[in-house]
Amino acid sequence: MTGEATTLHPAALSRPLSPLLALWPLLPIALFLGAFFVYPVLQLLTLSVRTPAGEMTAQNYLRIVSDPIYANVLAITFKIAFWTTLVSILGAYPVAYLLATASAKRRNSLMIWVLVPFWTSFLVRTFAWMILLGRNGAINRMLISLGITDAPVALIYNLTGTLIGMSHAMIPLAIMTMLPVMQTIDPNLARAADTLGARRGQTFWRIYFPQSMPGVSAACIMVFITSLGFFITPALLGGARETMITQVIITQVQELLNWGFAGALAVFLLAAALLVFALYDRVVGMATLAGASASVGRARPSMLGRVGARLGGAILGALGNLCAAVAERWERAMPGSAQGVLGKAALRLAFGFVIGFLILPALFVIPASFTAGAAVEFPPRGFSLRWYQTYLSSPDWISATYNSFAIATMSGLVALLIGTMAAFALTRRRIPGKTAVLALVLSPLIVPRVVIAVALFYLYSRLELVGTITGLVIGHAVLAVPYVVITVMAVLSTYDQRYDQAASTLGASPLRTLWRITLPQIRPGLIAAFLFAFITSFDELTIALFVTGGAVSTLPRQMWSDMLLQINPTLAAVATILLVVMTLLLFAGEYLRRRSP
Amino acid sequence: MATGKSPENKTSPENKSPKKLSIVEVSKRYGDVAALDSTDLDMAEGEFLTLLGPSGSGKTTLLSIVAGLTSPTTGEVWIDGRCSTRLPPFKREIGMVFQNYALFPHLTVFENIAFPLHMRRLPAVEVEREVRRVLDVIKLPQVADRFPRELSGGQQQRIALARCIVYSPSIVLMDEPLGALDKNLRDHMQMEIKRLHTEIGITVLYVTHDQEEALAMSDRICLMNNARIEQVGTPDDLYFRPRSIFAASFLGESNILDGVVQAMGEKAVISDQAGATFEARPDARFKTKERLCWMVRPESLRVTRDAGPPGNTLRGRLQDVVFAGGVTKIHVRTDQGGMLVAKQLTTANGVPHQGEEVFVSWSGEDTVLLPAAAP
Repeated sequence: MTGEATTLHPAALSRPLSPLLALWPLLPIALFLGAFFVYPVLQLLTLSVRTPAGEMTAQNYLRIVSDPIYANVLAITFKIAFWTTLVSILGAYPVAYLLATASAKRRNSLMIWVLVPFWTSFLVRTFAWMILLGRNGAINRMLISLGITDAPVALIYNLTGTLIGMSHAMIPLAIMTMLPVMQTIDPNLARAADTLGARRGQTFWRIYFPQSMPGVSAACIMVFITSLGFFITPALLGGARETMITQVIITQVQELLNWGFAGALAVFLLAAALLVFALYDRVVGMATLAGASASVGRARPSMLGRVGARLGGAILGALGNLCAAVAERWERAMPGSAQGVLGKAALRLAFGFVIGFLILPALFVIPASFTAGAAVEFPPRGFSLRWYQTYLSSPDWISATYNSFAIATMSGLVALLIGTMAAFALTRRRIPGKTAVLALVLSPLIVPRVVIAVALFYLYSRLELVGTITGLVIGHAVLAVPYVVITVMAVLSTYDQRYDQAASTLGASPLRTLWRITLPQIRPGLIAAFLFAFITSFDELTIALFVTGGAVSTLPRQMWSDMLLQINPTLAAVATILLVVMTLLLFAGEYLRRRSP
Repeated sequence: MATGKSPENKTSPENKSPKKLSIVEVSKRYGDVAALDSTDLDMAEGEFLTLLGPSGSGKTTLLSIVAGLTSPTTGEVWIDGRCSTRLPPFKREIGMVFQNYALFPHLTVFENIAFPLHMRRLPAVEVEREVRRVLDVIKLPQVADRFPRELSGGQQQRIALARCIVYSPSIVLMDEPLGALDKNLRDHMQMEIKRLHTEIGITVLYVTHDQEEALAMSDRICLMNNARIEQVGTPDDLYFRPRSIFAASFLGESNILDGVVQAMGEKAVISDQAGATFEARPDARFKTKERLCWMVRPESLRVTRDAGPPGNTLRGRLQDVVFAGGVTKIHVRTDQGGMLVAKQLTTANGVPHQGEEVFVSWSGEDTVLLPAAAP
């Protein structure tokens, strides 16, 4: 009878428990993701190879391959993803480098400038770029008033606008992915290189840069895969020629109800994502992807993996040599001391430029919301709170706000509960195939959101969950649970289990140990995990787009509809409110996370 | 044969006299690796028993098996006459002091000490009284409302002890509790633990790799090596009557030489390669003509310029004199080529000089026979 209770205890590690019993904390997450993630996605895949009558068919795939429109869309999708990745990595590297080499205290204070954009709604950010880049937007006005151009420059509804918006969205992700790897690079190595006679430039190119390559490649993969599934930015900032695959899927489902074809497109997208991932895993290995998951049991690399690693090492080595060769030319032209000063200044400048690029749009949205005029303008016309009043007096906006808070709270709690249980099991048990379990738990981050959204829509249409709060809560919990697992695992990995052992020898049962010793100590981490889950749901549009079915609306859903129709100052007011709420939550979450042991 | 002293002990294994702890054929394997070979060990009420050994010798494994933090592959653990092999730690009525103390950082000193009492659902009045009582015992009544991080290492150590003795556990287990303290504090805490042990009469199972600590504190020492018990006995036993080369060399310093048994009776006689014979303490384990090792402690050797009275004597040349404060170590290369180290109290004069011919002599009583080293 004590079996269930004892399992949460670390002492149970070596206790001869039946393997199934030891896995029970993983059961809720397995059932949950099984029912609302794996099953519907697989269902969607089978839909793509069936006719409406139920026979097997390759027709949908043939259509994608044969119709040049879709081949074109795929090509555009990859092209945009590629350029976004390139721009994002170039922008992210100096920022991540500066953060990684700064002192811990300085890093913590600078980090917030990356975290705020990272967690700020894509919609809010895209909206900001619409204000800035539009025909009558702030940038064009400035260019005209400075006399640089006579007529407005086309910055929006084309590739430029799309790339600006998408890079802006992806740079924080790239920084966050690179940073953990860069932080593990021992600064003493650089010092050692200095004592061995390497000058600044050489130290960087020969020592630091090659070591940071795993972080760079991890960032590449995360940015590339996320970019593949984008639709908000290309839809709002791009033109017809920037239509990406996700937009086509949405049209196929929402307007044509062509499930099979949408499924086939989703398979293409998913396959592309998984292929890139598999490639990455072979060459670099998964461990570098998340700082938290790196500590998880390292699987012995397969034969192919080792070959890949060696190949990867050779490529990185070659890159390093190439860089060093370039650097030597540069060094010959410049005296060493001037180089150091110049390098530092250039780095600070790059850092300031990128951070400015990330923060800037928000600075335009906030003033725009206080305009007294009837349109979104910059600089704003006069000052008034009329658009906040409009927001507060609109039943649509208010109910959307209420729904968003309710759904985010509930899905946050669901994710926290099952995610924490899973995190306990994953950090404290010897679990066979732990890497595979972790991969499943984290896969909602990797599978493009639109795939999950369409799959859930199909599942819900049969369960009559479309247009329900429950449906949205479940969908958002699927997306939020990986963040909870990562956060709680990170907290637990630093938790000293001897506290629990001590409590047990002092007479505390496993449940009382959990309640009185473990949970109180990791509470800040749990609250942070909840806040991250909350923000994930609060900001979520893709699933809401399908699953709400027009019956219930959330804030992002309402913003999206309004933005597609017309830009108005109410949107600026809502965006400002979102910005403030998110930033406050984020500061709270970060504060708590840093306080936890 | 019930002794009648403690009726609750009637289920103890084989019905022997009451024991606090009985470890019966306990072993632990991780796959092919034996962390602990089949081991038997008993502890009497009020005893201070130390598990001593190098790291990886199995002492911590044995301790955590007793605590219930690790379950044995085979064998049984009896605590207070109750078979506890399958009991989780919180049902064993044991106390444990961890190496890093494991004081709960989110609870005050008072709450930390009260924790085991709360777990036993004692009324608040009693909790208050008991916590105050042990805080007095460890002489730290003023820190009750502080948090562990606000205390010094030595104070934390004493709080950890207090938390352990407040509920009078059957056995207190200590896992290298002084490892994190500096030398002076360690000496002081040794006395403190010893004082608590005698004053309260607790039974202590103590783990350390520090031989001085073990010799100073223990009633009995259980010397461990290579996942098994090497020898169990009083500190005296282990020091003066080691039963193996490992025991002889792990505790204190020793001169170990090869030899062959010439006679075994009232007194033992052994010879070395050169044919010289020596008297030794008899040991029934060895027969005539058997090859073995013999050991003399450096402090049992006398180094003189003259041959002196007949007895165990070797001639040699003084190689080196090392002055180490109160004692002086004298290294002598014997005529047979072996090296002997003698330890003498330092005196202002009379130490022979390097290169001088000297005689090393010792008593047969101080010569201990040991099984030959494995080939």
